[in-house]
Amino acid sequence: MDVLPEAPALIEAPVRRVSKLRRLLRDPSGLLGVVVLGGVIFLALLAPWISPHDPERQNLKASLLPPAWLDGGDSAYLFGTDRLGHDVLSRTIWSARTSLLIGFSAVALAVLLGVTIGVFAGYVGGRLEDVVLRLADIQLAIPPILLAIVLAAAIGPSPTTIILVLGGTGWVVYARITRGDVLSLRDRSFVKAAVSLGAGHGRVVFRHILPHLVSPILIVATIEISLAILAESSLSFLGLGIQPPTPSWGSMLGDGRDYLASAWWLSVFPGIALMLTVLSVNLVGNWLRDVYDPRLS
Amino acid sequence: MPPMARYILRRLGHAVLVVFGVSIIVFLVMHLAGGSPLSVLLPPEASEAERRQYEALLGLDQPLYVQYWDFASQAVRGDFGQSIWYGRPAAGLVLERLQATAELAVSGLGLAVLVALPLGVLAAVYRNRTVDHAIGIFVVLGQSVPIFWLGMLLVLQFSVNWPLFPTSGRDSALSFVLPALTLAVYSMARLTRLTRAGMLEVLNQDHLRTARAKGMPERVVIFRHGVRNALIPFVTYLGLEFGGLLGGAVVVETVFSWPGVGRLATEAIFNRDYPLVQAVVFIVALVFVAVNLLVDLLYPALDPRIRLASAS
Amino acid sequence: MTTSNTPLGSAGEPVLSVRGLSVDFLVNGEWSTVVHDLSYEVRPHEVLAIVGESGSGKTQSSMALIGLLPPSGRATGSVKLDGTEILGLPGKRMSGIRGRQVGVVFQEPMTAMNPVYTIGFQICEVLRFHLGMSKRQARARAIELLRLVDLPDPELTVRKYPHQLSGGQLQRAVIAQAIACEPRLLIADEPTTALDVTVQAGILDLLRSLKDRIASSIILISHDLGVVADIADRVLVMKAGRVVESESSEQIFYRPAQPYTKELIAAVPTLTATAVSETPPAEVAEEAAPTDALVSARRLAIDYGTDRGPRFRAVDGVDFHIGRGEVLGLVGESGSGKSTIGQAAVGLVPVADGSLVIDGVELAGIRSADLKALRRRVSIVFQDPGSSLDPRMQIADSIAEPLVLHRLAKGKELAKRVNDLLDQVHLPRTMLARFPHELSGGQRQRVGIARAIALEPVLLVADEPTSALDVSVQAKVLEVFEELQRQHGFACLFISHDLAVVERLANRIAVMRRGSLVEAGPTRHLLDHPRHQYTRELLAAVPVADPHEQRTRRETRRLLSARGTPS
Repeated sequence: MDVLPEAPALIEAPVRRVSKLRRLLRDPSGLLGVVVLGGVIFLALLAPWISPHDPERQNLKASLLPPAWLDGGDSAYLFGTDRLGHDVLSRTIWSARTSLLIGFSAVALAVLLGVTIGVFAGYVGGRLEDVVLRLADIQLAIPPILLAIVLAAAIGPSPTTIILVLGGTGWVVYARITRGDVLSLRDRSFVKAAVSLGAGHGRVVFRHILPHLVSPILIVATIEISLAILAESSLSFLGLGIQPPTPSWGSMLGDGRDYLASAWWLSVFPGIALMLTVLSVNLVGNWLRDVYDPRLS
Repeated sequence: MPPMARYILRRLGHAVLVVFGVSIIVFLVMHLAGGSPLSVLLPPEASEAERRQYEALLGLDQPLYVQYWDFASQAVRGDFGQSIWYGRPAAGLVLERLQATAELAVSGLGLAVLVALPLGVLAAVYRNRTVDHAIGIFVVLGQSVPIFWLGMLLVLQFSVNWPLFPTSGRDSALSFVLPALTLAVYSMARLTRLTRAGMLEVLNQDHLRTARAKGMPERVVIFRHGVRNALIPFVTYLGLEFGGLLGGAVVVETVFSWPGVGRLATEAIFNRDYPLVQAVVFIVALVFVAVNLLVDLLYPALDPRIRLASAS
Repeated sequence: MTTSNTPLGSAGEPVLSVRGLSVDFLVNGEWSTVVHDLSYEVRPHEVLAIVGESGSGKTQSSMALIGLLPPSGRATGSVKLDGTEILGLPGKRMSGIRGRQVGVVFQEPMTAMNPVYTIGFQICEVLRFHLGMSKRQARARAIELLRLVDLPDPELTVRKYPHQLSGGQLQRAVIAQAIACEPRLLIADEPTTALDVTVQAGILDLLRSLKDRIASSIILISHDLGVVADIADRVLVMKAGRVVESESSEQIFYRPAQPYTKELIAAVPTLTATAVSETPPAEVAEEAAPTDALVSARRLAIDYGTDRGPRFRAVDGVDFHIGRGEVLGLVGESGSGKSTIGQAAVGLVPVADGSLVIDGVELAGIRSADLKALRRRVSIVFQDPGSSLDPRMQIADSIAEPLVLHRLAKGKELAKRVNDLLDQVHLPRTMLARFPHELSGGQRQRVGIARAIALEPVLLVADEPTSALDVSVQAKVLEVFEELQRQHGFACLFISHDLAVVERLANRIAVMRRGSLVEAGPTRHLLDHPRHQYTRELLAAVPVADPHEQRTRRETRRLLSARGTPS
């Protein structure tokens, strides 16, 4: 710690740059999140090599087999099979690809849109800001899932549609955060100082404002990824998202619902996978919040 | 103009503006959807001439703004056209089902508030202690479980394995329990988190220290001075959460075959019943705007800074 | 070192007796001590001032008395109130002491009261809890208390919410609440620091009169020796958690024994104006702006407020000028519009009406290209050292920014210039790679000055550059500033609420009030012969670190206000 010659703050914590990694090791739930999410990403990437079967191959002779360890189970199908004889394990693994791809892409799109809109609204102000705020209110007035259903039906359900719809409706939260932060940053002396020294708008925005938005946006974006994954699975569950035979947890659960009493494995395994994925993303998000915004932890 | 009157007028103005915006979005989305119900009404082998005739009949040959004007002027009168599938006015169908959804959403929200408010306050007061950590685990689990899956598990356990509640339908008070609970879980978790954060902020405010300094017992400090102030942002969250519940209802109603607007919407989409879809989306948005307007109007009662002009 | 044992005016058993009080905080899992072995006494009717700079532990030691430390803090030792030990009492019994026997007044009145309850409710709450009064009794007593603290229309004020009162009025209400149960001891923690000087004077008068009227002793915590000189009977000087000296006010101010006390008193800029003379107004009118003035404002008007809120005219019809190399001190209380003028001078807010010419460039309706060119020649230093540097930029980059922006230097040349600037503000080069949060307030403000002089400006706007700093730090920063001004010869618009600081630096002074210029003139002349009633009030309200002088000023102030102020 450096000894300050003038007015040391009373109980200011020593300026110690504790590495993020060490902090992670001290936070069991954050660590759990990182490990599980890492595992899910790993499985998703390696799906073609580790899944025992082609997830889209039907085998009507092996329809509705229970998990391997139960009576009537087949050791080739660890988690059993569905009505069309798809291997539940393989489909569960492959679904991770779909969900993560959609979750990350939709949020990336929403962040891009929202931050851009938010920076303009906060920095330019005036009419533009009013318009953006009203647009945000309008967007919020229509429950996103309802809009997503309608849009998905309108444009035709496909992964691209879902990314566009979730990304296109998700901008509001980022725009609001960005606008608020830009407004308060604009009033901070260091931004005024830069302007008074002759810095142009571009430099002010990119050098003095945007770097401060990284951590708040990162925290929210992480949590929003989990919401996007849940939204995608809801759509697929309703039959308006990922269409069969492409594997997705949501549509697997939608199919499983009809066999809830007779073939529970159709609902339980993909459900656990989905929940673990969302949970791990949330845990990582909470951990980021603890690290970057300790006020709320 | 007195500050209250100006406040109310401004809120009303915003609400009208939002409804107007929603109407444009609903209209455009339907238009994008190929808006024309012709594909449903006409057999695929219909001739070009027949197609034109129908378009003219339905006003689909008019410019976009004329079509919007027709749509909007009818919507203002509560007329969203005939449902193609049911052959009845779409608005009437939605309103019939709205009650079932409202029952679900309101009780879900009520349940969420009853749990979230005490848990959130508790977590904030005992910040970083065991209670707080336990509540934190509940929150993150609640925010992570897919509600349709939760619904299915509840059915599997409490309707199939132990037949306590019906699996679906809306026939008795019992049939109400599982869907309301399912719908409430996510909101419970989120509102708990928001209450905790809001409460932590209030607990850090100077006037709480003043309350302690004047000897108020901890109970008074936490409730009369802390919770009372934390309620102000909480009410806003409630309004917004209501939107989330309406969205969640779409999924929950499907799981439990609950005859509400959510299921009506999914059915309408599968049936390509566009007037009905339009009516559902618009009316649900209207309900959301109305609820949030109510919240805005409740605000002055909670916060004298809005109710009364300030010193300067 | 402990309290002196000589009786000092006030006799009798001490109301409060503190012995060996230590306060520790848990930081990163380790206890660190912020108050070491503190002992003192407070006698009946006595005002004890605890003085120190930030980090001295003055506030924490006082909060510890009544168990108001944050959860990470702990206190050990002994605190006796009327002979009864109160340190570490369990919650319930401590509740009976706080508000009942010990009242507290905090620094920031605007946030000290709960915004959702009326003033009356909050005062009644104390009365009903501690004294078991009925609703009716409590209300009557609350009105009585508001009258006691000289709030206008107590019957009306009792029904008002905090946001409906001004800062000064609110502080009076907070005081009324603190003395509601006629406590034995009143702890006032920087009670006037957030207030303007004229308001501050009123609050100090109130505290002084209350001590006799409600027979209470007062602990005044303050960093401001002027305030202390005004009111304290005895003074306890603290530094880094330890007592430096504890003596009567006379002793401390006129015969300080410890070097630190001497330094502290020497560092306070003292207004030398002899209160207010009754000499007839001087004949010299403020001379018209010379034609070669660097800055000249004519009927200058500036609107303030964003495009979100309502705009209002913050500055209206102001004329002033600054010659080349001249320092103009712009003085006024909060809301006077002085900072707005400073921001307009560097083009941060537009000129709404009239004219503002700097170095031959008219700022009214200026085009952005011309503004950018002008910004090479004017710069600004802001008040808050905590936010005037980008927290994500290293010190070297902050100082280099103006040079980079105007493409004046790069590579080795840039590094050399930055080093040079750092030397000029007397900062070691080890600072270059640091981030702002790793610097102290004074160091940050020096960096701000280095950045501002990087372009060799002809005009430097200094907007309250030292008001957030401790006096000893302020003194050093002002020294640096004077030195640089001599070397570089830039003209300066020095904005401050502190007349003493302005007196030291400025060639001429302009006084502002509510958006208008009250009067302007050469420093000595204006301070010795103020023409305007407001300037006189302002001068009389400034507390000086000299108890005798302060008594005289108080008398003058009383006369001034007795004559009636048209405000």
